[in-house]
Parts: sequence; structure tokens; C-alpha cells
Amino acid sequence: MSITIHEQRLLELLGSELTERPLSAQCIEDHFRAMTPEDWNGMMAVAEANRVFPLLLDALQRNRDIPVPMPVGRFLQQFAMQNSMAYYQKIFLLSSLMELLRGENITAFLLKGAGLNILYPHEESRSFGDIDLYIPDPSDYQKIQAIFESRGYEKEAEDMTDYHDSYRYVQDGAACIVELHYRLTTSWQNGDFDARLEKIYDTAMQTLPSRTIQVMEMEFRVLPVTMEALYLLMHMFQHFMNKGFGLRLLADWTVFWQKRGEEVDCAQFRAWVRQLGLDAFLDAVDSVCLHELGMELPKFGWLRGKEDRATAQELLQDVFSGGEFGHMDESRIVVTSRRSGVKAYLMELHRQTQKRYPRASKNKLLLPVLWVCAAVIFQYNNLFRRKISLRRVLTTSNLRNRLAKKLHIFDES
Amino acid sequence: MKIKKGFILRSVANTHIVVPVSQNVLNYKGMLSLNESGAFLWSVLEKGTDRPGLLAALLGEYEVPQAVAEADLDAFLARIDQIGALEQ
Repeated sequence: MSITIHEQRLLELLGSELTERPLSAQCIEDHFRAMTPEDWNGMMAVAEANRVFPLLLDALQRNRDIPVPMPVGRFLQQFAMQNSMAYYQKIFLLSSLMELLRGENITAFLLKGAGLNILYPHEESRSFGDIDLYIPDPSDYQKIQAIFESRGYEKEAEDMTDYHDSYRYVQDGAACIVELHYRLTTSWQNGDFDARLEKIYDTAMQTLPSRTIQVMEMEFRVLPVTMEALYLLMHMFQHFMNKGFGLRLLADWTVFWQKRGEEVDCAQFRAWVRQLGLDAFLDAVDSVCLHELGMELPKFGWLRGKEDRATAQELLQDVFSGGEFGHMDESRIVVTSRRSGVKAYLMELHRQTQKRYPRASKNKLLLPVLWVCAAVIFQYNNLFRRKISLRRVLTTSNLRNRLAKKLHIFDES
Repeated sequence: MKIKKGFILRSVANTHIVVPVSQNVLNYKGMLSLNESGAFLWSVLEKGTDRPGLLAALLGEYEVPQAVAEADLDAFLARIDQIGALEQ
């Protein structure tokens, strides 16, 4: 199964914008000049599912020979304006938050967000959701939690992750969600993968020089650049293993290598990826960005050995079928690594039980009860919230597990 | 007169927006959108000039009656002064 013509057009446009290279006259003539209203609707639907309307507008403005229907142009301009205002407001909130942290001598690292926005040709065009801050020092973390709670910032009860707490931060009538990360990634509970990743991150934080970036002429501390490359890959991996990720993360990956690639210690980055057994995942992501978004990989001497285009295409189809973070496909659940079958699902049930009941699940006598609770909640959500059958969930899960197997995720070798 | 440090003009979706940057972000009083003539006046003010200089530049760029240009100019100056972007 290949991607649709709407998806193909969107990729061409986004690639043009992300690499700041206009499409050729021939490409515009062949693919865009004769677009019908249905074609525009189709492409807009894909853009909406992947939250890339502002980027699409920028791409159309870069390729002014493409005739854009007036309603489409007007809609995209209005959307881009709202998106930009939201971006500036987030920068204001981020700045006031960082000022607060600086005043308390708390060291915080800005993760993703505005740090990636500035890599785009127009920084406002990347949709910017929550503010993610990494606070590595546990005492600093407790301090900022106490400050937040004393100011009445509410902790989001829905946040069941094992690596950050979410707060609703309010300042001068504006509000946003702040995710305070005490770890950089979730626990995978898979052999020594967690230990290897933890060691890589710890070593990197201790040995690599820290750096700052400028956003709207304000300075923010961020991860060392080689570590950021790994972090972005792990972020994609985490979402892939959850319910998937959309075009935005591939766009982030493309602009990161376009703008920061020269600063990355590629040998170190590749060594880390190898230690984590994520070579095939990295290669698939790179192959997609290289061929579909025009990312300039060859200058980094990148793709090892034979490129597996077929698997890369499957990954791309997974990206499109799920949309932003898999939200387009309600039948998606976590990938149970490369295994499938009853044992794999039971192991995943156990993992989800531990996430949902972190304290209670430490009591082994309670585990059977908690497993039943987790399973009941899961099926309840399937039937009444997602309105999807368990059969469809398991069918989708098998498909995605097969892709994970092709990507050699959590292979023993 | 000139534009105070800490404000920049951004072009978004065919609109021009004045955005506070640097420490001014912390004194956020909102943003200002400008039309084409406003964006033109902003670019002139960035280099520093006085009111007669601004008026002359506006009349040189746009074919409008002097009274209209003066009214537009005063409205523009009042708006950017309101967000703290004007240095006298």
C-alpha cells in the first residue's frame, strides 16, 4: 500500500519549505496546477491531521506559481495568524517561567518547543503546544514543585507518565501546560535498555558542554547538541511505541539536521544509537526524511549499508494513518515491542498497570486485582470512549508490532 | 524619535506584527498588528527620524492627501507609544 496523492503533494510542499528550496516549475505543472477542489480538500485534511497548516501556508507562499483557491488561502492565513499569536504568548509564558526559575537558582533545560521553532524558516509556523522543561537536580525539582503548588498552579491529574509532571501555569491571564521533566524519557522496562539509555544521558550531561540558544532575543539553556539529536530520536521512538507520531516530528528531524547537523558529533550519535539497538529505526526515519522531505543526509555519510526503503515506506504509512501522535486512529495502542500473541499483551497489561498504579503495583499481593482493574478500564475506554472493538484494536496492534519487528526494536542482538 | 530596543516587526500570513523581545517579553502588553503603511513607517522609524521626516517619507511612498497622511501618522505613533515601543 502506498501513500495517497494528497499525502504525496503535502510532503512535496513541506519538503520545499523545510529545505527552503522552491519546487521546480515541472513539479508544479505536474502535481499542483490542475488540482481540483476535492484535491485541495484531501490535502488540507492530511495537513489538519498532522497539524501543519502554518507550514503549508509558508510552502504555498514560497511556491507562488501554485494557484491556491481563495477560501483555502484565507483559511490558512487566519490559522497561521492565530498560531503565531499563540506562539508569541507561549514565549511570554516561557520567559516569565524561566525568570522565576533563575530567581530561585533552579537549573532548567528547555526541551523541544521553542528550541525547535527557531530552526524553521518562520519560527511561528511550528505548532507549539506545552512547555517542556528538564530539571535534572532532584532538590531543584522539589523546589519548583513547591513553588508551583504554593502559587496554586494545578497539577494535571490525567498525567500518568513516569518521567514528568504537568502543571497548568498561569501568568497575567495567559495559561499553558508546563511539563516538568525529572527524567528525559519513560521507562521501557525492557531488559537493560533503560540502564543503557540512562547511562548515555548521564554521561552526556556530565561530559558534553552545555549550550544556550536565543529565542526572541531571550537566552535559554538547552541540551548539548549531540544529546539533543538522541533526545529527538528517542522522542519519536517513544511516540512510535505509544500510538505513533505525525509529520511534525519528521519536520522537526529534517530542520534539526539542516540547521544543527554540522554541530553534531555524528560518530558519537551513531554509537549511542547502536548501543540502544535503534539503527534500523533511525535509518527508516532518515530514509523517509531524505526521500520525502528532501533532508540533506548524504553530507553526513549517513545511511549504513543497504537502505530498506520498503520498511521506511511502511513507517511513513504508519505516520499518515495515525496522524499527530496517532490521534487519527482510535484503534491504536502501544506497540508490545516486537512480540505479539497473548504473552506480549499480558506483559503490556502489566506495564500499563505499573504506570497507572505506580505505588500500589509494588505490592505483589495487589497485582492480580490491579491487572483486572487495568484490563477493565482498557476495555471500557475501547467501548465507550474510543468506540472501537477489541478485535480492531488487536488487529492494528498486530500490524504495528510487525513493523516494530522489521525495525528490530528491542532485538536481543 | 525611533523604535525602542526590544521590539521587532514580524511578517506572518501577509500581516505585520510588532512583537516584544528580550526583556520586554516580561513586560508583555500584547502585540500590535500593522497594515502596509504602518509597516513602512516602522521601517523608517527603526533608523530614527522626527515627525516631519516620517510624514515626508509617508507622502513619498503613498499617494494620499497630506491631511490623511498626518492623521494616519499620528494614529500610528499613538499605537506604538501605547505598547511602549516608541522612544522620543
